[in-house]
This record gives sequence, structure tokens and C-alpha cells, in this order.
Amino acid sequence: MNSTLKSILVPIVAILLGFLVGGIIMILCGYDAILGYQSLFNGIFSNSYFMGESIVKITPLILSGLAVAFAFRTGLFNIGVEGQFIVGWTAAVYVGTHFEGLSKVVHLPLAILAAAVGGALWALLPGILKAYLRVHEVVVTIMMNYIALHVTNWFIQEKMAAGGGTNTSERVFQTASLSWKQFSDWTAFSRLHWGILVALIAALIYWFILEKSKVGYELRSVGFNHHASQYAGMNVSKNIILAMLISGAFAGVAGAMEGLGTFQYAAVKGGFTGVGFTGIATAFIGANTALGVVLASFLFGGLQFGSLNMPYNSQVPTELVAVVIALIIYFIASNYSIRTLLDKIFTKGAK
Amino acid sequence: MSFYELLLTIVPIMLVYSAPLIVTALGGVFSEKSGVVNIGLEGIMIIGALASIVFNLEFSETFGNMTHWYALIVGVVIGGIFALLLAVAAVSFRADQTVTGVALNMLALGGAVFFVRVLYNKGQTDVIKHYFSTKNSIPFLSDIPFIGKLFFHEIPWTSVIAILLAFVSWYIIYKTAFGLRLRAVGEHPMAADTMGINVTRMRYIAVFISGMFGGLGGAKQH
Repeated sequence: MNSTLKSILVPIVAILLGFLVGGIIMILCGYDAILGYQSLFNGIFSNSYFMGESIVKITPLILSGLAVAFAFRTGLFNIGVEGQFIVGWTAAVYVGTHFEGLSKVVHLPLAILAAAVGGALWALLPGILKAYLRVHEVVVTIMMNYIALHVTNWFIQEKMAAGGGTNTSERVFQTASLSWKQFSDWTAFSRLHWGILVALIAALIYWFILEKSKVGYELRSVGFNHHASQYAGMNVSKNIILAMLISGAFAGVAGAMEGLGTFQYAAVKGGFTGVGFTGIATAFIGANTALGVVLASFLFGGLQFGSLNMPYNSQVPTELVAVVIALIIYFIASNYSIRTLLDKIFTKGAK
Repeated sequence: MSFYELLLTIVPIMLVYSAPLIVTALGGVFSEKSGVVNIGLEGIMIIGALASIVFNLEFSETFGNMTHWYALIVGVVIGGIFALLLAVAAVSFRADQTVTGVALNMLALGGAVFFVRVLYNKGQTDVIKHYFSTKNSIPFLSDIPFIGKLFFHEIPWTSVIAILLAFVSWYIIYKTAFGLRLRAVGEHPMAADTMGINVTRMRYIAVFISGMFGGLGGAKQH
């Protein structure tokens, strides 16, 4: 069988296996697996509010997935998307709550841009350390996650909190908000906002930079082979830093989606949001392609939101979906076995 | 408060909190040396902690005051078994080690809460009845002036075991034939294979040991 078909079949088989094992776990623990999955499905599609909220969940996942995927494609492993996401969120809300009186055409792009710059700057340090000192980016970005969490918490508490002992900033001005009244009317007052459009445009930009531009060609080339690229006259250090900056910018914009769209404020966080870590999974399942990441984000975002419905209709704990998602990643990681399995099945059929 | 008094308050607490970290990091050393990056240690700790807590709660009547020791062993075994998931994927199926590790972490986090809900129908378990108290002074050593009171007075057994395990691990990795093979497999698997060492088996063992340490680390955290 040809490789394109196989690269599509492998994730599908992995997803089915994930659901299968999840179902077996449900049955072993004494739940009705069919009812469980049915209520999961209903939790995503049964009414317009659920669908709107699912898309709200999906939006930042697309962007954080793109951020991780961009780094992957250029030979870097950016675990720091979570931190860049938090910084982007804070930066977007900071701009969104200041500069009153700007028109929407200026204010909204400015706030999103601030988030992109915030995320990019947070990724700059790991990029520089990697480029010039060969410090492994995984360790640095993990540490930067914790620094981001606590620095932004301090910043929100001290500089942005509305006062009176609250832990949240004020709401962003309407001119910087992504929400649109029409959306919430259509979807029974869900928090659906324009962010999904921003995310899809970002996916297009991602595709264009990597596949169609000279910059992207160089970035991918450096990712494949440092030495060959250097020999060909490319500036390896510059490309590593650029890759981290772009990856961080995607992560920052993901934060803007939460800050300007879903929540419209920034709050002191007790822990990580998990958006950046789920991004690793979506990038991986989407095989680091723009379309793949978008589809994987739809799957995971839908699952995460739909799982909230499971305890009400079928008594199955929400966490089952976390288990299913982890299993899917596990099976995709061990795609070697699935590939061998597929080969065996299809060569037998050919005979 | 003098500096020594300050140390007296900090060091014993430090010993208590460092025990799980020491043990889990030792687990990381074993698998790292064999050439498998074990990002999944966090998840293994969670599973080890879950197993030992559940055991502790369920069997506290049967084993009485020895329950927490048995719970520790249960955590070790379950941690080792859970780590085999990593070995199967990363060694046999040639999966990406980092991604598999991340998947294990997510699996453990979700799975642990899931099983607690299944078993107890709520988000967290009851408080265990049998635990390691901090009232153990090591004879002789705690009589040493100055450092005796600092390091050996009223510390939990778990910390003592953790520090002893560090020495044991060093001995196993650097002074035994097994340790030499372990390092050979990690540094140059092909050369090790040529010399007749079963690379896959060594890596399975290393990941299993790593899981046992991780499970112990998790079990200690309670």
C-alpha cells in the first residue's frame, strides 16, 4: 500500500484503538461503554451551545498545536508552549485593558500582536541558549513554563488586578474583544468568538511559511541536518532562533484567544492550563502538518468538552477521556507496530 | 534565631521532602543510563502513590501497623509494571521515547483520578491511617555533636532508605557486571549487542527498575 494512504490510516487506527481500550476499561469498571460514548457524542453535538463551547475549546488547541508542530518541523522540541501561552494571554489582556478609545480595527490586532510578541520573546531565551551554547531546549523550555506561570501571576496580582483583593484583571475593552453578539445568539449564549477564524488563518500562515517560502525551506533544512545546512551557506544559529520565535508567536496568539475571546480577562492561575501540553499531542497526531493539527485539535477539543457531559448521562467519570487521549498518543507513538500490522493485513489481502 | 537553629528547622524538613525526589531521580538514572529517556517518571510516581494509598486504605485492618511498609512494596511493584508500558512502546515498538513518556504522564494523571472515582465515588481518597512518622532517631549517629541533631534526629525511615539507595545504586551501576552492561547498552547499543548482551532485555530491566524507583518515590510521598 502506498505511504500517503498509510500515513492517513495509522492515526485513524490509533484513534480507534484508543477508543476500544477506553471502552474495555469502562466495561471492566462496570459502566455501560455504549452509553458512555453516546453521552460523550451528545456532549459535543446535541445542541448549538455544546457545539459553540466545543469550538471555544478547540481554538487555542489549534494554535498551540501549530506552535509545537512548527518547532518539531525545524528540529526543536518546544515543551514551553504552555509558558508562552500564559505570557501571550497576559500580554493580550494587558493591551486589551489599556488604551481606551482606540478603534477596533487598531486595538484588536494590536492586542493579538502583543500576545504574539510576548510568546515569541518568552521563546527567545531558549532559542538563544540552543543556538549559541547548544543547551537542550527541552530542559530550558520546561523551566521557562514555571517562570512564566509565577511571573505572570505576580504581574496580574500586582499590576492588573481590579483591586479589592481580587485575583482577576478587569475585562478587556469591547474594542479589543473577539466576541460577537451574533455568535452567542446563534449558539444559545455560548462563548463562541472570532478566534476560530484567527486560528484557521494561522494554520494557513503556518502552511505558507513552511511549505511555500524560502524562510520555511531554510528552517526545515536546518531541522533535518545542521551540518549540511551550514555547508550550504545557511546561518544555523539564526534559523534556530527564528524557529523558536515563530513557534512562540503561535503559542502567544493561542493565549490571546483565551484572553480576548473566551475569558476576556486574565486571572491568577493555581497551575498550568494544559493547553500547551495538549498541543504536543495534537501536533504529534496531526503529523506536524497544518491540516493534521487542525483536525487533531477538533478531535481533542471536542473530546475534552464532550467529556463534561459524561457523568450526567452515564455516570462515567470525566477523566476517562483523559485516559482515552493518552492512549491515542501512546498508540500513535508506537506507530511502528501499527504500520507492521497494516502491512501484514494488506499483503495478505493482495495474495 | 541563630543560624544553627534556622538549619535545625530547615534540614529535617528538607530530608522529608527530598526522599521521593531522590528515589525517583535514581529511577531516572537507571533508564537514562540504558539509553531510554524516562519522561514518564511523573506518571509512574502518581501510579505508585495511588497503588500504595489504595492498598493502605483497603488493607489497614489486615496488616495493622505494618501496613505502610507493605503499601510501599505494592507501590514499587505497580510502578515497575506501569513502566513496562514505556518499555514495550519505546524499546519493542521503537516509539519516540519523549512522546511515550508524556502519554504515560497523561494516562497516569487521568487514570488515577478515574480509578479513585470508580472505587470511592469521589475526587479524593480518605486520609490513610498508617504512615511513616518522623519520630525515628538513628542510634549512635544522632549523638554526634552538631550534625547528629541536624541530620539523624527524628527523621522518617523513608529518607534514610532514600539516601542508602543512592549509595546502592552507585555501587550497582559502577561496580557490578550488570551495571557495566547497563551503561554499555546505553552508550553504544550496537557494540553491546556484538559483545553478546541482549540490548532489549537490558533496557526492559532498566526501565522496570526505573519504574520500581518511581513507584517507590510516589509511594513515599504520602
